[in-house]
Amino acid sequence: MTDGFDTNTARLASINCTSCGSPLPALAGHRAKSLICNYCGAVMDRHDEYRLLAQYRDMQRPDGPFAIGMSGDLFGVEHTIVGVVGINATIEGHGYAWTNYQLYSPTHGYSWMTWSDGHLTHSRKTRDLPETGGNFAYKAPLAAAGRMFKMYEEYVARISYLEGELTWVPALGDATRVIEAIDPPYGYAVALGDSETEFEFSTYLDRAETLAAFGVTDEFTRAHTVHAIQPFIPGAFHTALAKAGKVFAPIAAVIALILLAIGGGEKIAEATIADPFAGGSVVFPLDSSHRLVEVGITANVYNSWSWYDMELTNEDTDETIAEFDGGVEYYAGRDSDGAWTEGSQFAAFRFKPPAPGSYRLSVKAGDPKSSTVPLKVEVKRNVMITRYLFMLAGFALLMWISLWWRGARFESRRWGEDEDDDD
Amino acid sequence: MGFDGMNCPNCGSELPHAVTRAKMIACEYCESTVLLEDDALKTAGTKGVMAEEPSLFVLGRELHYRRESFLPVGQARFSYAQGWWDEFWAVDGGGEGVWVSVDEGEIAVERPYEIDIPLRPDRLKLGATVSLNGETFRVTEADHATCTALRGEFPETLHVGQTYDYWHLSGPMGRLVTLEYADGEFAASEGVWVDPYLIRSENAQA
Repeated sequence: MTDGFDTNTARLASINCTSCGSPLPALAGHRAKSLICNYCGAVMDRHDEYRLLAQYRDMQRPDGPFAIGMSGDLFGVEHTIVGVVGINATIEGHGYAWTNYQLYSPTHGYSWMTWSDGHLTHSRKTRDLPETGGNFAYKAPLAAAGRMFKMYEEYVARISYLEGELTWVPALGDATRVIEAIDPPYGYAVALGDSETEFEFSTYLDRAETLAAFGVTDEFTRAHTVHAIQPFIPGAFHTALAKAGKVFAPIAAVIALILLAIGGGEKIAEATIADPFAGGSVVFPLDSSHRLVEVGITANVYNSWSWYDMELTNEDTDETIAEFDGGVEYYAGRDSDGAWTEGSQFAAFRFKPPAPGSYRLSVKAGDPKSSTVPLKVEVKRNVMITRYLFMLAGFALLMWISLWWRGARFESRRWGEDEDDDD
Repeated sequence: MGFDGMNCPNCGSELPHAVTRAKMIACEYCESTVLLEDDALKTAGTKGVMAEEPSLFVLGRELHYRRESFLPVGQARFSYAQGWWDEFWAVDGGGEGVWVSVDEGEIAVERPYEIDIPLRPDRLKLGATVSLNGETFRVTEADHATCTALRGEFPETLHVGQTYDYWHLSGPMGRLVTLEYADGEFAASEGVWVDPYLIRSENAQA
């Protein structure tokens, strides 16, 4: 986009309507051909001493944040609003309305700013004609202006309101067939009028920046729809998370799988305790205080449970290292949904020994209502936990996928393929 | 031989250095335009009053458009029925001279165009079709223009007050041909439209 030029502002002047005498701003340059009085609807010929050409009374001014005479910076260029055109269209059976503001810049000429359902776009005439594409075909490619657009929709635009200075002589109700193609944040339109075909290049505008640039306080309803050329701009935090997720998800998953393969541990002791209420113990040597030890308890409880008190002591010092409890519970049955199970007949406990040495684990039923089934105790050393790495991989993957999903949903709403278009 | 080291025959001031092989140059110090003819300088007329208007094109400031660059060195202002426009004589990146037509953001870069058939001004009505070099054009604008002011240097003789007829012909794929008719002769140029929003000055940000 262009910047760095001194464009100055349009010269302020006014002229009296040749029909009703009301003072009207004259802000446009000499190429503007018509002036439409917002008081009496008179259409005057700027190139023929403001001769009255037509008159449209009682036109309803369309909604929009701007008014003739406002100036603001777009793409580094000062633009002044010199005219307003209301448009109605029926697209796939639904009625739509939007407001086109005729912009004028002494250096860049005439262009349009459009307010449509809370979205703002800028359009300008282009001579970069389409290289491909003829008739409208949904999502068909259309190469133009150095870009590859996708055809978006076709409709007939009808003028519903006129005001100010315009570059042609319009008539209320004038209709133009329009083919729109998109490559967000840009759009390309082919406007097929009765006597000529025009081509327009559009850019989606940041609403807050644009309203501020024209000195308008944003008190308007927020956009409820996705505009055809609105870019998908996720939050910076989500974007950063998704980028990190894309990198870390496969790394974490690979590391977790490697640890899962080699980190199952080495069995160093096992014992079967036939009577859990009498209790029993298992002794095992540990040569490292840096690696995890896993105690696995298996008891074939069925529709019952068993709870155990456990004590870990250092055989060399007779010091109690830890006292803890835990248990197994397992239920199974069948209901109207079919067979079901709940709980597990296996429980595992992990600890890091404070020092190398010989250790004893004592196990005894810790609740008088516990099952009496025998239990098997198995001790493994050099165990590595992969659960957290898998969780990290899952979270990273979720962040990555969630951004993609949001983008896909945004595109679905853009193309009107999402029924839920209200949020 | 150029204008270097020569003085204005009207006021005696040193004439500016000519960037191109100019035939005419406007004296910076007096109201004269100076013509170089057969290695001799002649005053060609007055340069008129060039009212300052906002413009992307400023003499001596290079502009870039896509892969091309333009250095405006001469500015001629013309009036027509609806207003006025500027014709800038500019040097492109290849050192060739081009005319750049600037009318309220409507900008066209024009180069000489050979026409292969005799034309008659009375047949170039608005809306008429014209076949040139195998292509069909339509007359989209027909008007009279008068030169009102000159600044800088030019490859041909221009006179303030000089009037001529012109026609804009629109062809396929946005082609533009401009015809000018003065003193019983046609001159033609082929234009390429330029998007003002893609023009950058040499000091503008990328």
